[in-house]
Amino acid sequence: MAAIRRNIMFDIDARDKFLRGMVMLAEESTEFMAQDVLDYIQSSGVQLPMSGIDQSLTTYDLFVFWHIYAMNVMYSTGNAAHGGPVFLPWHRMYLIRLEQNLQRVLNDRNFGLPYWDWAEDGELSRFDQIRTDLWSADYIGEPRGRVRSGLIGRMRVKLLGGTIDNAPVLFSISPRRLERRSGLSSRSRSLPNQDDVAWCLNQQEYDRPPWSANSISHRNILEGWIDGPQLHNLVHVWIGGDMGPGTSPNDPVFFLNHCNVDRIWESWMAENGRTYRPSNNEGTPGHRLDDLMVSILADPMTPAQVLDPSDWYTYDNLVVI
Amino acid sequence: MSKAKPGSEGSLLKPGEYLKNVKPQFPGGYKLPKHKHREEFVTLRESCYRGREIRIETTYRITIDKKPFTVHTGVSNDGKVHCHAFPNYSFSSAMEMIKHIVDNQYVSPPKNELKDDSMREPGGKS
Repeated sequence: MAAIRRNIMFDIDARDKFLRGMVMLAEESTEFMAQDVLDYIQSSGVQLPMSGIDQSLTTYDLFVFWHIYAMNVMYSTGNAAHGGPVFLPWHRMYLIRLEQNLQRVLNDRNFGLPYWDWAEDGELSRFDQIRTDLWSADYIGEPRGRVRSGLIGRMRVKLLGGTIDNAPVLFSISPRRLERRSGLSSRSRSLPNQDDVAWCLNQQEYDRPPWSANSISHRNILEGWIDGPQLHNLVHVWIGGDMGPGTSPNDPVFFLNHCNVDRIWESWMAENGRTYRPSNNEGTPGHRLDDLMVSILADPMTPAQVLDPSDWYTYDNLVVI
Repeated sequence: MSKAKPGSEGSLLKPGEYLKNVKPQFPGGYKLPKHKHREEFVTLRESCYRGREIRIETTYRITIDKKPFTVHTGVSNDGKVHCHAFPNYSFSSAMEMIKHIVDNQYVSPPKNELKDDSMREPGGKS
């Protein structure tokens, strides 16, 4: 039976299981130390320098690592997870694998990841956007500063993307609480709203040349590059703090954001069909329909294999414009 | 189009076990770039306007305190600048982007206990 993904604000059971499951993954030990991660990076040939303390990592830390690892597999346009057509199917695969692990630790095969309908909050005043129940101890904790309250207050950041001597580095840092700066960035005082969602849903093409951050297409507008940051990108920038660097899955709100992004894509497909471009004889390698997507914690899939997610999950509500 | 649904029942291995036992796969024909620490980045912007083919090639060579900035940097058709360190951000200029980088740099990075060949100087000194 496929899971049903529900709005976190309207389903207390989904919320409680999500929070509990995230903490369980964040406390589930693995055999991996930070040094093992660095050895893995080097043996695979990906250019991602790493620096910091050696420490044990949890299953949740490995999901954080997967994201920044894929980001550093560079294609001729974008990378293995962003800046091109593969953005939506890669994150769909990533969320499916996280959802399966949440089902495992919760011992509930019907658990579905909840989503945060940020466009609804984007209709509120900027003042009220950080005062919804989402940013409370019962949900995901404080919108600004260190996250100390609720279950998420138990989570710790260990892997952090950054720079040293003007070069990119993955830091292994002494565990610390999550940090947020919601609504404080001068670039993004407000969340995306329903008009922004309508803008991406009104696009007739999933993607199109040049298959990049310059494409006028459903994928690229939803990713948030046109007149950016918008939509998905804007949510990252609006929250700021640990949602900024390539280790942004450190914050569980990453998954609430991407579940909503995935729901918007599913809404687009409900109107436009399960179509995807580039096909196998166009576009750039890595983004094509049957290209393997970079996966390090479970078997890789292709965009074609995730176009119809109904074997895994459905949504309680799609976006209707 | 493939109908297969690999992993519908979840992976048989826990993530840590999978990472330990299975090597990463890349798309067919993909070759990992061999360069390290690039010091310049070229973006090609192309458009067709009123039947005219437009190509704009932009090269960024950035230094901070005379040291090359080696984080992948590019520019979009609308002139917004982005870089890999903050993958969701778009900046109105490269100068604004670098100020953001400086604002978010570690003042005192954690002591390095890891053996990272890619960060060692020639001669093996860490």
